[in-house]
Amino acid sequence: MDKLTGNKAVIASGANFKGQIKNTPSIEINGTVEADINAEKLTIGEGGKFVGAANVELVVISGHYDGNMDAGSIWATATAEISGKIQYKTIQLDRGAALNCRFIHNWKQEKITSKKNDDVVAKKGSLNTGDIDIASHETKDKITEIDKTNKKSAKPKEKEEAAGDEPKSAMNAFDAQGRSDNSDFRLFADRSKKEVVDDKQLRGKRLGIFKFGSRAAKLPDAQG
Amino acid sequence: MDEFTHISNGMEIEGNLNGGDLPVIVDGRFTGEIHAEKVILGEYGLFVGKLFAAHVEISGQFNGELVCDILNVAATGKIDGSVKADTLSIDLGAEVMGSIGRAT
Repeated sequence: MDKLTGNKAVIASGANFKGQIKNTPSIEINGTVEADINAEKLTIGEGGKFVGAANVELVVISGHYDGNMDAGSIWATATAEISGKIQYKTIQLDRGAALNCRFIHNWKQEKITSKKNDDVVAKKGSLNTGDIDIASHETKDKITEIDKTNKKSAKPKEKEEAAGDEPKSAMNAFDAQGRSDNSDFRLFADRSKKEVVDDKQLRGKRLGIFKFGSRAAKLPDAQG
Repeated sequence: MDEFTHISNGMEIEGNLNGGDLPVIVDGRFTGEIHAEKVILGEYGLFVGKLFAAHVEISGQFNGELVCDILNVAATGKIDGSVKADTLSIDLGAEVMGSIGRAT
């Protein structure tokens, strides 16, 4: 019997099936079928009628098809009548094939999926940044706590080193704070006092103005 | 037997099949109802449900209700359910459980 039938599913002409079809590598429909098919090869013979969703790699249509099809390659012969929505990668149409349906090439679907992936990545990214923000807040809090502890630890040192060198101990405390805070800012602050004044003087020389400004403005008031 | 309806081995079908004038061969799993002229249930076939046919040959597992004119149960055949047949033959080795009666 197996030699006769092979391993190919067939719905003969005149046969009528309605229901579910599963695990079909290859199916030929010469009768009428209402079902959803997931297969590698689907043949709708002349006089065959198939209604339902199909997810198939290779489709040969000589009969009537109606439904949503997602196919790798489609061959619609001269007697084919197709309606519904077809997604395909490659298609061959013979002269005489009657199409009354929506055709979509599969690359669009791939684009959509890639967009979805991007969205997912973006969402992930935003989540990550959120995490980082929270983390940074936490770290800031930790830093402030550390500062407090440093101050507390620094104060007893002041008392121990005591009376004579108060400014030194104050500076030590400042150092402790500065390093724990952000040392870059402190470097910038150190630069400010002397160098900024020098810069102002240089600018004045370039412009040909010597000790103008606030002192010059004060002179007439003093006279008056 | 040029043309026939074939439920291949490994295939699972659920629903209602009207075979028309051509024979139906079930080598896979069928759940539901078949109306046909001739039905052959293959050695590895499994049928669950109701079967109405003129001529039936059973070599596989049949569970359910069977109504036919001529029934032949082969040596590898197993039937569990009710059988109504006008002409009946059961080969040596076949397992038949359930009720057997006349269709008419």
